Amino acid sequence: MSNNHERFEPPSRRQFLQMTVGGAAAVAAGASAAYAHHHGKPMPQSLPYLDQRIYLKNMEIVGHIPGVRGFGAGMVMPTSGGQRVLFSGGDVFDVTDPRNPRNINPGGGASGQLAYHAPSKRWLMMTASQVPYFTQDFMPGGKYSAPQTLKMFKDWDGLRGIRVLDVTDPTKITKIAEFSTGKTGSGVHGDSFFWDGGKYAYLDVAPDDTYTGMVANLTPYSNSLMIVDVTDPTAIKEVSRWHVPGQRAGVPGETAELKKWRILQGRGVEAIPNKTLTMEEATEAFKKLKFEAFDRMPYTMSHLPLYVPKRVEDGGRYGYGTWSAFGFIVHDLSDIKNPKAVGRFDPAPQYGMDGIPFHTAWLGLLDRGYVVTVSESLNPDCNESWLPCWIIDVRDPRNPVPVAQLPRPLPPPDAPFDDFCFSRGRFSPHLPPHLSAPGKIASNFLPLTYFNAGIRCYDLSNPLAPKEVAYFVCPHGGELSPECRTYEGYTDPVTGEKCRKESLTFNRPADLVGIEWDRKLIYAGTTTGVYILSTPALGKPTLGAMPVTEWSLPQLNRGAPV
Amino acid sequence: MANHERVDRPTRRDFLKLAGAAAAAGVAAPALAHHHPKPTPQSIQYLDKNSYIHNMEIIAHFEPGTARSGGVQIMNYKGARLAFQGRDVIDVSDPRNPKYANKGGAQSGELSFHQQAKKWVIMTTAEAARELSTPYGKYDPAIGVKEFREFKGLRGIRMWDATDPMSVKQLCEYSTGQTGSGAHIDGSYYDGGKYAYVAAAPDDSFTNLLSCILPLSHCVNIIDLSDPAAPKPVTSWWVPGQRNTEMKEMKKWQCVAGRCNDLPEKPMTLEETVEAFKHLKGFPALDRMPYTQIHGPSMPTRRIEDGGRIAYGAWSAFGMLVHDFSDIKNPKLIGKFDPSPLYGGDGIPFHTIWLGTESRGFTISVSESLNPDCNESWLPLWVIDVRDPRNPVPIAQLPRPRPPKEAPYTDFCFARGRFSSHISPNHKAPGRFSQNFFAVSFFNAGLRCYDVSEPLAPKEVAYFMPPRTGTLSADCRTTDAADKQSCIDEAQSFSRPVDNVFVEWDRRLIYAGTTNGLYILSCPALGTPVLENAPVREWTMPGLNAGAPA
Repeated sequence: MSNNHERFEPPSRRQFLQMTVGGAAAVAAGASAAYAHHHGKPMPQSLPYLDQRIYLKNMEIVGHIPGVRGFGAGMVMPTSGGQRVLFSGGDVFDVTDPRNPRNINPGGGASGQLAYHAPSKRWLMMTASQVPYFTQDFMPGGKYSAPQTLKMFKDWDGLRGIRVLDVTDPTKITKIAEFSTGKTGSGVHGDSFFWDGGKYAYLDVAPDDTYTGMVANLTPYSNSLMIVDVTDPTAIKEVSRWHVPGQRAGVPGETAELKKWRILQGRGVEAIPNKTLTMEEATEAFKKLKFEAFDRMPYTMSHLPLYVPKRVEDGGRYGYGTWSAFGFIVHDLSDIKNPKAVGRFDPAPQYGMDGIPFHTAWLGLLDRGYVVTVSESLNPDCNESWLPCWIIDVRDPRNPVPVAQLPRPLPPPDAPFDDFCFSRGRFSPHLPPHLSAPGKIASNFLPLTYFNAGIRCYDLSNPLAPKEVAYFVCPHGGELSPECRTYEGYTDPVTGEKCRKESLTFNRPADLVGIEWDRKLIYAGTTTGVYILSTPALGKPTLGAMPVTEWSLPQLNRGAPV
Repeated sequence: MANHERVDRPTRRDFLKLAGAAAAAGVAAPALAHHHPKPTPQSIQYLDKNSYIHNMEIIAHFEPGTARSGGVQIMNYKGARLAFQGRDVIDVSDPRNPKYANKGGAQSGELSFHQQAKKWVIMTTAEAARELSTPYGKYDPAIGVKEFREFKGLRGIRMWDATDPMSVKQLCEYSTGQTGSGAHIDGSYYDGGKYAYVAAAPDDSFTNLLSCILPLSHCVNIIDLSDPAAPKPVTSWWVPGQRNTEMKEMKKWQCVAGRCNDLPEKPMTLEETVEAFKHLKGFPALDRMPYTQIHGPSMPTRRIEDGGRIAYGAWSAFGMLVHDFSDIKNPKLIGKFDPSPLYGGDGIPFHTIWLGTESRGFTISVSESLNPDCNESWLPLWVIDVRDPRNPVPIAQLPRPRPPKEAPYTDFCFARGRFSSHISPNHKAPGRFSQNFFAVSFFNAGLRCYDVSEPLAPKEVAYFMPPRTGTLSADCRTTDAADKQSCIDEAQSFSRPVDNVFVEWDRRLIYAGTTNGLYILSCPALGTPVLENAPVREWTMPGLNAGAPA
């Protein structure tokens, strides 16, 4: 399933590949730097090969599922008798004995937001479907190199929205509903929506083609928040929307707001015409902004989830969301029809001109008054700003105050590179675990996926001085041909295209992480399979059947059969 | 005295006489109060006479047993190094044997070599009836602002010629406004260049200081000192809302969090304002209201006349404010970091800003508590990324000091007196700032030294805590004794053990101004000290003391 945003449906991919020649021609004429998003820019210090060693500190490998890419690893569901299944990419694994995981539904699985839906007494999974993203996987400058990609977005005929699947029997998953978030919009982004089985789901979406204020080259759509009512999962209804003023440059009045964005000041923003901007016009206008490169422009859209730790229908009030280059935003949802932004931490432009500065939030220590925000780089080989993970004091939701950053990972002493910038692929965090998981969250522990730096585990007992306490660096999967070892390989007209494509195989070594808090197991979805890990920092793992007596959120999966 | 804790005895006695009346008047607020003890059951019942030292060495101890709490500054004079502290000049050429060079005949203020006048000058400050050390300060009905109003002396600055440090002579007096506050010493800065930056309330319209400890709300006043004998006003800048004509703006302050919404919008007199503030709801106590004024200084990292532009200021409950001073007549606020009300509802959340590491792209803010025994919020010291001065971003906090293992208390909150940072070293010093080392005076936690080589993860690397001095009588030891007038009075003797810090960066010497004399220390984290006389080849701030005779 294409739940992860790196993945897309094969048909559309082929379509894009057909266009590559045109794209390359457009690039040759462009003034922007030749290197591009997701594509290598190795330096003289970079390794000329992919390191196949495993590095472990204070962690142990309990089990390994080779041969699966493991996107979407991490939603665990209990079945009868304390058995547990893991939804991972297109497969479902019985992980009751984590040392011997068994694929119980090869190719028939799904990844998304898993929850027990009490009213219908079913385990449901909400999955996302969106237009193909990341045009620049095929064209270095993304939408700026190949304006014809805009047509591709418009013509794409898949579902733009969400699907609801019945996964009560994980060996026989059935679709029960589809909901379109807007036929001319983007659809829903995979790792950035939240549904806990309650009344509302919080989606990351551009509802229609007027959401044109996206400056980064990846997509023409500027995603934002849409809240939907899932009381009846077969009849989902839109409740409300919220976006940063300026994101919807396709309607009157918004372009003026966009031109006020702090991250665009000093970049030639004055030249943007004072009128509503269609996708084509916006692309044309943003292309002229003065940034370092087409693949280093601000990610001016949401990258949620908007996490609502206490359901609004149960009296919950605040939602915590990551809004990429706009920072971290706290919403008051007490009037669900009119979400209100009440607090914001926005360290741009120092931290947030490129990449995805605020990609996901971790709320596991909210009871102690803090959240952690997680960033994501877009370019490999550190061809981008370093984007820190912030620890933010949210005791006063109106005024989130950053108090510390997670330490930046350093390579193991015995690794053949001095910095992860030189180990090929992308070096940055990507995701914390899903907030929904079996067991009670250990508020002082956080594992993150960190692409080429593997899984990094942090001790948050003192949020002012977070410490890295364990890591697992997986073998670096993928291919790196001799001609793609140096930067020349990427700029060479003959090998450039091959190298760019090839880099997609190894850019994101450790991509996703899941956790069972009660059995103390960590799932790492990597390019070399799914690893099941334990660490003393989390505690001694339980390596057998165990009924789920408690969930990470108090209301989660209430009423589910034990 | 340079230190703002010290009050002239007559004033203080007056206050004490009034205290009984205040108690009788039955103020509605809790009984705990500013600068006055509130020991908890865990508090120790004596003043710890042990000294604790970690990774530091004492080079000299000057005048043990006497209060030497003031800030230190250095002059090079005929081949000697002279330390100015309080009214004294101390020859520290041999740091192991500091000697009085001029006892009691100097001035305590901002010392520098004036480029145009070719003189060493000192700028001192004069403030009207300040530091209202009664339980509720200006909110005490028996105190109010009467004495402040009647104060006849200078409210402003004095300039002195210190070229001959044995005979310091006054050059002039300059009033910053005779209905105003006068100038506050450790909130003012002057480096011998064209402009001085002085914390003062220019007149009695600056009423909107919520904290009980002063009548008026200070702002930054820029004064032209091209001719040190004839200061000229340049401009003043304040946060909209500080004046009585700006009540609408005041209500919007982040630090008051809507708690001032019931105030009238028409301008009030100082007396009316005090009365109105006293009845505001939602603040924890009359001695725990926001410090809504500059503490300061607000100062540029390079002189404006030499092309300097960006100024950083410690604006207490308003946070750290960044100004563009390039048009000196029209200071422009360009950036701020304001974590209130979460961090900054009480105390002095931003007391001083350390600029020694600004060239690496970060500053460090230093806070000051006002109440002893942690009867107040903990106010962190922030490491702030200022690479883009328009958008200062906090990236870390300095670690909170922990007591030595062998100390008889488990937290400094229980060691009696005030537990908080106070001040960073004066920026005007010999040598060049270390980019890795930072020292702060920390009241009852002594002197604390930090390694800031990794600004995201600052580490405490050394400390020194002198023996406690002062008196804690048998009848003031327990929690229920705290409100006794004699105990309140007595607490002033031990509240601020280590008050000031200064660093000679070139000789790698650290001065600690304490209630138990002046210490000169060294620390391996700063480097091997130079224990002999050495000419000053370089000064910290650009242009500082240029042209001074060797």
